[in-house]
Order: sequence, then C-alpha cells, then structure tokens
Amino acid sequence: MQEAVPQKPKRHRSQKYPATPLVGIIPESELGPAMLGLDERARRFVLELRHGPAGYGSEARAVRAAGYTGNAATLKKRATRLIHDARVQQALREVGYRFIRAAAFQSIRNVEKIANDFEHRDCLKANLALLDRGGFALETVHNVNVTHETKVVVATEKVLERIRILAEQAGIDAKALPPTIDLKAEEVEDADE
Amino acid sequence: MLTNKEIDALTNEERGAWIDAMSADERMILYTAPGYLYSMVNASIIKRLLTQKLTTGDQLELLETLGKRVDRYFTAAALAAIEPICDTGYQIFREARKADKTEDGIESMMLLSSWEVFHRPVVLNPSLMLAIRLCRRMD
Repeated sequence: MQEAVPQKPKRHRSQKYPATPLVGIIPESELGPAMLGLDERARRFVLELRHGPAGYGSEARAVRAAGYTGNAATLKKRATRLIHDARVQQALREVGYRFIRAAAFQSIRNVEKIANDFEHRDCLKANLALLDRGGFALETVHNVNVTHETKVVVATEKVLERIRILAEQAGIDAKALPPTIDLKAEEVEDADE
Repeated sequence: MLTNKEIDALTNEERGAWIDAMSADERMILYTAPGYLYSMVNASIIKRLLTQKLTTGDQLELLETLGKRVDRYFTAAALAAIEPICDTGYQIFREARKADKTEDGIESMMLLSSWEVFHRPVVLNPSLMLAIRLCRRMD
C-alpha cells in the first residue's frame, strides 16, 4: 500500500502594504481630461498608485485602497485589468507628468544643496548643472564661412596680353580669335528722379 | 581595322603578328599613352571652341586649360600643330561623352583613346598624327 504523499503547504504571502487609502476627496476641478474620463474608483486607483509605495504589491494595495473588494486573487486580476486599460494608462501618464513637473522643484533643491556642499564629490557637477540651466551654459562658436565666388574676368590690358601669350603658345593666332561677347555695365538713371 | 573586342580576343602570337603588320604611324599611335591621345583630341576640341564667340573669361580659361596640357612629352610644338576638330570629329566626341557615368569623364577618355575610335579623329584631323610624330620626335 502506497503512502499518501503529504501535500506541500501552501505559501501565504503576507500583505506587503496596508490598504489604508492615501487619497482623500478628489476635487474634479483639479483633474485633467484623462482622469475625468474614468469612474470614481478607477480615479482613486490611479491616484493611489501615484501617492502610494512602488514595487511588488503596490498595484494590489492601490486596488484595495481604491475601494474594490474581493479576495486576493480577484483583486490581483482587477489590478492587472485596470493597469492594462488604455484609459487608465492615459490617466497615469497625465498624473505622472504633473508629478514629474512638481518633483522637479525638489530635484533643483537637491542639486542646490549638493552645489553648496564643497566637501561633496559631485559639488562641481552640481554647480555646472545649475549654471547650464540658469542660462550660463558654455557657449560654443561655430564659424561657417560660405564663399560664393563669381569669377568675372574684365578684359583689361593685362588679361588681353595673357590671352595673346597663351594663344601664341597653343599655335593660335590671337588676332584671328573672334571678338569677345562681354557685357558692358551702363549707369541707368532712376525713373523716379 | 580591328575592333576593340577583336583586339582583346587576340592571342599573344596573333597580337605580335598584328603589330608587325602595322605601318610606322599606326605603331606610333599604339605606343602613345591613352592619356596623351585624349589630351590631343581634347586640345583640338578646345581649339574648335575658341573659334566661337566667347566672353573674355571663357576665352582665357580655355587657353589656360590648353597651356596646362603641355609637358615634356606633349610639347608646345605638338600642341601648336593641332588644328581645331571638324564637325564629324566633334560629333564623335559628343557621342563618346554619353558613355560617361561620372563627371571625371574616364569612360569617354578610354573610348576616345582606344584603337578602334582614335583612328577616326586622326583620319578626320591629320594634325593629330602630326602631333603624335612631334611628341615622339620622329618628324
């Protein structure tokens, strides 16, 4: 008689983050068009993701905090479906841009802090970054010389003499060369005067 | 008169026999570098162009180009001996220029200086043969 193989105990992962909502009342006047296109819970999901922790379990936490109910598997599915929804993705992008823009000021403060810390190894880099963005970037000068050369040979005595010499060397009688067809400039009076 | 293709197809013995049967003038043409043959044709074309009404600048430029052709082999005397090319010769040159794939004109140069083609301008313009003779100092 075969002995029954003992079943492997099922692993229960402990909940990583508490599902306490981080977002309060959402005033519609502050929302962009993508967020306005979502229902209340989806909006909360997006904002919970924005304000909540990042990494493993963050999506499940956001779903729970947004007010969705069900067991762990259901919530996980719900989170996946929401994340892959095109409208939600657009709303995440909309919120993300605002977040980046707002976070930029914090970054400026951080760079400023490093720039003022003379002992910091990136002090020079931070100072250069601030100079660049503050309108004191290193100016480079590119000299591009474009020369448009129009060779106009004027029939001066010197030129005619050169023609005579060259023609003679080539065995051509310079006097037999046909007359040239050079244009002659004439001064024209302005019609208005 | 052998064509370029026929010359290429000759065996060494046949080629030797062909050269042995040549006249002195023909041999001179054969032993002149293609670049010089082309320079001579070109000089006759430039001389033809100089018979037309041009601006002083163009006239000077063409004469300067002619002057630059002269060296220790293609002497000033040889250049002076070349007469302007005739209408038919000029037409041959224009047809040859159609073979050019690039602006440097290497294809037309090879064609004009080839055995099969060079003979025609020489027949039409005997001064080219005189120039070859002068270059080889045999006249």
